[in-house]
Amino acid sequence: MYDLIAFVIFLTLGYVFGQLAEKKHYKSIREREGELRKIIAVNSRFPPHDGVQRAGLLVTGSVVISVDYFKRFLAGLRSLLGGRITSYETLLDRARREAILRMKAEARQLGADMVFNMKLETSSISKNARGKIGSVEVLAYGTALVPVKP
Amino acid sequence: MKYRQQPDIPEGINTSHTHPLKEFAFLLTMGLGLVLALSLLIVFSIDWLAERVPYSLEQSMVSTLDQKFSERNAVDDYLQSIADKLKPAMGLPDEAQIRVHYVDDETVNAMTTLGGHIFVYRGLLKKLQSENAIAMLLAHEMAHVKFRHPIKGLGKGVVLSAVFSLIMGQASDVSAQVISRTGSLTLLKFSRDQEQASDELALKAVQQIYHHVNGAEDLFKNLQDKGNGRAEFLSSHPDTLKRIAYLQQLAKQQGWPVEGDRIRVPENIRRLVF
Repeated sequence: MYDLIAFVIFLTLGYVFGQLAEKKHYKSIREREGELRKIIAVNSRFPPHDGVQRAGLLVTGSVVISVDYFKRFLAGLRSLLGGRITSYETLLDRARREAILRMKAEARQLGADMVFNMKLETSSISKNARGKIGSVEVLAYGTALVPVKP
Repeated sequence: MKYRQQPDIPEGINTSHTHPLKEFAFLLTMGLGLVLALSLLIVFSIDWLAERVPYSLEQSMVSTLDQKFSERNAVDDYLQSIADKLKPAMGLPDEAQIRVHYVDDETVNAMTTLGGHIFVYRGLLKKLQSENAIAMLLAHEMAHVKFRHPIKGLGKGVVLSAVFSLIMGQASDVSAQVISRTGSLTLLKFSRDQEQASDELALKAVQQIYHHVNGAEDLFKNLQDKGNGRAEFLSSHPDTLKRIAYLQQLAKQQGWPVEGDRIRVPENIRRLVF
């Protein structure tokens, strides 16, 4: 009986706080994406040929996001029935965008105007181990180009 | 190559629009429905199979119990004599052996296992003041034997735990727990039904032997004291008050007298038990 109550409480807490955190995060992501829009990030391997001389520097941005109790429960049920795990989609979407934003923030600090050859890598922290928290790390990295005066 | 600034891309391309609560409701209904259907299928097929297991096979599965409890005292024999008296009234087939064992322990309980072995603990026995109450207890346990509840329970336990551990291997911790909990709650419902069926048959047998049902309720009145306060849907037995009410109603319906002389437990047994 008590674990049933505990389960419902965890689920509700997971849902309420998970949703609040997600909303807040999305809002902040959109704001910062606007701010950092002028720093171009592309995954092309070729730097622009516009005559400006630039120095290349490595920039990285990484983020670790944990799944909440509610999302985890949904995903668990999904694994029985099959189909898209929609509860994880927003989680990974946020993680990818946050990683790119952090990478761009680093590039801006270095005075870069663009990042080329950008790549994304995702890794699971707990590797689906039983009883461990499910969290992912997303790493965005690329070569920042900092204009140099001749 | 020229590179341009990334325009503002609308939200929702990489994510789904389904509301999480809607998804939750859908998945929970589907998941639980599936488990419920699976549990029912297993329960009914095991019940069907268990009734076809010969008593002799069941007895040979627990043949070691006979040797282990071969030493018998006066209480064992007293309980056995009541059981033997009840046996014809219970409608038990001849090949169904009933062996009653007295356990010198304070636990307030009695149980039936495979092969018609019934264990009665001193803790429960000393609370029963009359032979009538003891007969009700033994009749209830013998009804379990007649309905093949021990072997059904064993079969269901083994098959369900195998199936659920298979499912659990696929799902994550929490959802697996919810799934298996649903399965065991379904089992508990059947367990409560089994208890009620046994109560019914037991009362009928007691009435046949003693020609009244006075004293039979004592069994449950004592259980009531140790009530665990758990919600009924989480228990293996029906609520004690409900059991008493049901039996009273049954006696009234059938016109069984509720008044009559209770037979005192013999003095030599009292000395050993109380």
